[in-house]
Amino acid sequence: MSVSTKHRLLPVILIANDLRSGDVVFYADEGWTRDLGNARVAPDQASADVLEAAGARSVGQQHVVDAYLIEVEPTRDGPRPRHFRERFRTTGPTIYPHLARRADAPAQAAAVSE
Amino acid sequence: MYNYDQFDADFVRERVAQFRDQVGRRLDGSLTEEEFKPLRLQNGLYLQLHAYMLRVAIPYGVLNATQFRQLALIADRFDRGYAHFTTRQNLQFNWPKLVDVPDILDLLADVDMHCIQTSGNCIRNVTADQFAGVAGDEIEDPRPVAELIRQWSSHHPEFSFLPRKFKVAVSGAARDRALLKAHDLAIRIVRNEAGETGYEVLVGGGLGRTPMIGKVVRDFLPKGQLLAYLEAVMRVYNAEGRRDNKYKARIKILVHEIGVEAFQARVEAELRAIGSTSPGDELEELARIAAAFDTVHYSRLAPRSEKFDAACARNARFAEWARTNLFTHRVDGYAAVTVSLKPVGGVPGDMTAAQMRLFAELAERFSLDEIRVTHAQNLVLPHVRLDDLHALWLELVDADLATANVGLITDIIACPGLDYCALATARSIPIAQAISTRFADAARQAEIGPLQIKISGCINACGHHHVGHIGILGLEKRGQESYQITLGGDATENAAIGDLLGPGVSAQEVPDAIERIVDHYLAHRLTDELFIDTVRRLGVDEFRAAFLGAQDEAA
Repeated sequence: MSVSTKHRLLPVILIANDLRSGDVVFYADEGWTRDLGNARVAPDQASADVLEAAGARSVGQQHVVDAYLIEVEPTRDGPRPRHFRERFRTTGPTIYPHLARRADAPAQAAAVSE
Repeated sequence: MYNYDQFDADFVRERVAQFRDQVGRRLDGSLTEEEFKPLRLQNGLYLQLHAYMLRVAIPYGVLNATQFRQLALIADRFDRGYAHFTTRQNLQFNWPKLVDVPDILDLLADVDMHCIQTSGNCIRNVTADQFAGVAGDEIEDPRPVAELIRQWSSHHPEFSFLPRKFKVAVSGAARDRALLKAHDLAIRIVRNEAGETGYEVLVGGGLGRTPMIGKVVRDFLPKGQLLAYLEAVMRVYNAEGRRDNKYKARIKILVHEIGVEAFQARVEAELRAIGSTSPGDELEELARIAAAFDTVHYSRLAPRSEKFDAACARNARFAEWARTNLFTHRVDGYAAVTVSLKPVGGVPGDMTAAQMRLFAELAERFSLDEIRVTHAQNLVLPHVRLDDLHALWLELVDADLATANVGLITDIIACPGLDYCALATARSIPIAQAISTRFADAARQAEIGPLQIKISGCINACGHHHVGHIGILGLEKRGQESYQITLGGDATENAAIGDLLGPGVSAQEVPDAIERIVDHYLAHRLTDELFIDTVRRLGVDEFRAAFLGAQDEAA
């Protein structure tokens, strides 16, 4: 998988799937995390480029799959994806509340390997 | 139920070992995702929106209780306690981890199951009439032919890298319950004027971006010549199907572009090139396969059951369920029971592991250890004694599996949509839930009568929206989910593609839109006229005018 390079609005975060588990993960300062609230937000093009490069590197190192940048808007609770597809990706299926991702759940907040 | 021989068992186990090695090489970095993707897809492993998804093949939708229990065990141990039945009679696990998939495949192999060719550009799992061997309108049980095709097409070296996926369906009945005309290739067992049975072959059906109804390319193919004919069709497709544009790569486009007659001519030329084959070999193989199916031991029973009649008279809810969910069995004293996986407000086709375990037990107790999956995402217990129906129903009620709605407006087909699928452009399941909640009232459903709603979350049409009496297609419009509504589709032997009613509506507006269509039907139908017949008689334009007019008033 390659990192998407299409034109986008800032700010952005980097999203991917963990190779081993398939879980949705976000790039954070300390590596990949399952906690959207910890995702590193790139407010300008230069930091977006850095995120994009980190995604390409992680894909190359076979840690994650399908890494790409998504547009977000900052909220009090952290970054919120602008597009509904990516919002569903970060929250889990909308049909089963018990399967929705909970950022505060310890098991899901653990950083994955890099 | 077809019983694996040693060859079949070794074949599947060998594939598991190969895939275990491939996963190992992916995890240690020897294989990149680009290299691994075609390998995982040929084993039914996708990467979806939230997780990997594993699609398990259920050949022609037939399972036994042991297999069903194993699927429940996998759902509990490696997934999140549930599984999803698909619109091609398969089953999907939504949350497997890549590291666990080889172990899951081994558990499947333990019960003669696999994920081979449930994805990728190959001949996919063969589907069939869910009432195969049961239906009174059947000329011949299609399952041995379906199994013959499954074995012939599994890892067929020449047809493992087709221009695009290739879906096959088989039926032996007069009525089409297997969506034959929407398949790349379909086989209908027919009888000719001389009284011989053979095969009618249809090619070039399909839904998706460019929906097409399959065309008859051979009206009577004698028995013993099927595999040679299939080989000729596949060779023509493999050589001439487009590979430059994936949206034009299905066989339906080839047939459409060159025409049926030219396609037939090419197939006949290919048959001549293949040269003489011995029909005896195929007949012998078909007989071997047919003999490997379990013999169903029916009891000799009276055609009517006083016990059943009395239960119906005593219990209106049971009688209602019996009216909607039973199918007449060809054997006296038995019925085939469709168990709806569409509870009001529920997720079409989903079943919890606990329900699955109970269902396996019910199949053993009441249905001679047999289960069928339907393309409408329901299950069938094919051989239930009329005398046992009430006892079965009581058990189903306790498990929340006794919804009396088969074929009615709340028996909705819906693809996973944007709640799971990486290709989806909008959600499907919440739309199905909203409609089934709106029309929950049993009396109202009965008043409306048979009406099929089918919902897809993208143009690929896994939810069969094109052939729904009412079809709903979820798209993205200006950053919002938007739903196009079609009318007049038909999934039977009278297959038809529905016509678009008007501009897309928002998710919130869909139940009202459906209600307007249904109200128009109720106001204008003739006595006992079915929804689809009223649509045909009045024409889609009249419904469109009602639909758009009311929409304008609302706006």
